[in-house]
Amino acid sequence: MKPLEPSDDEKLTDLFECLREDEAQIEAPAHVRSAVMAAWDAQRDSYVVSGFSRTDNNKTVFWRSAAAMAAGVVLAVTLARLGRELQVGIPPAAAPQAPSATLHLVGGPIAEGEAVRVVRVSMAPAMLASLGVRSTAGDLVESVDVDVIVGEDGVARAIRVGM
Amino acid sequence: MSDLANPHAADTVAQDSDQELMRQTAAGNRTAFAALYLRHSGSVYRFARLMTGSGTAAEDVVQEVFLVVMRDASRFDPGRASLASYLYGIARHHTRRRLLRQRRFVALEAGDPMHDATTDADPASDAVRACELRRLRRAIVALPSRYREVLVMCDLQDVSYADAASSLGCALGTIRSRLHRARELLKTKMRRAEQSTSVQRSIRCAV
Repeated sequence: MKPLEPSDDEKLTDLFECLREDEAQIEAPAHVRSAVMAAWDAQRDSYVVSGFSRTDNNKTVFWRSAAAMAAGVVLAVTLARLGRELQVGIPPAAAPQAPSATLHLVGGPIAEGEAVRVVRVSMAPAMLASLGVRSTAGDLVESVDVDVIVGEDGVARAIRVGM
Repeated sequence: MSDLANPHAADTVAQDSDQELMRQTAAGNRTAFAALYLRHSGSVYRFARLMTGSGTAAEDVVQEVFLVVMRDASRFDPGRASLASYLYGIARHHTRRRLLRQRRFVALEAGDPMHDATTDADPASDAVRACELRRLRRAIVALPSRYREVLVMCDLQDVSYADAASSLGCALGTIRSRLHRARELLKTKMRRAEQSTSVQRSIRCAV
């Protein structure tokens, strides 16, 4: 093949042909297919877990929802009665503290619909403090679990400091 | 779970039209979705790869495109566009988003054997061809995206002008004029690259 000469359309067409030939051999790597099919399976599993099939019609969904709500009401009433019976003479106990988490925004905002990844890392409280983040656990613990929320572009959007 | 595990089912879906496969995908048929992927992932991947100059970026775009298909298969309207146009439209959207975000990182990946795949038996001819193709790829990636996407679709992916117009949401005349402009720009860039290489060779000889 000769080098490209000015205004040579034929040469460009020839190069396009070569490029097309090269490109024809290229397919998406197998791991992409595996990831896509895994995403499909994960989506299907979530439908199965929730008990609703995608092919359910509206009527079926309505009756299932109605049945679930009725069951919920019956359960709530039963629990309320049981609770009243048990609470007689017993002072109310202090509610246990739910583990709290603080979200610190460190990067740009998370775009609507952006698929973020959460990467959990273990950090020393002193290191967290050096980043300007104080853990409520103070220096009592050796390490603190930190969830780093990473955007689609690989840039950290936020960190979440758990207990 | 392996897709297309049942050979009879696989044969059946392999012959189905895109429209039928999309309908079955919307109804939750895994085999149909896998068949759609097999049929179209290559063209989506090649389009994204030529647009971004990066295999990794192209892989992400393929995943994004098929996640959209998985989620919104029921929204596909065959009366508006062919499935290929629809997929190119999604791929173009994600490619543009990626290019906007990672403008700094758009570069051809070095050392990818697929880039310079050659078939000629003559090693000298192979080397020249590989060099020309590398230069061509670089020139394509350096085109403004509105010209690049038309060139990639019509000249390299054999997409019809009508389908390209449908994917890009513009008139047929716009496709023609952009394609003409893209080719002119490409020729200019290739000429410059050729001259630059000649100058470098001369300098090396002088030294």
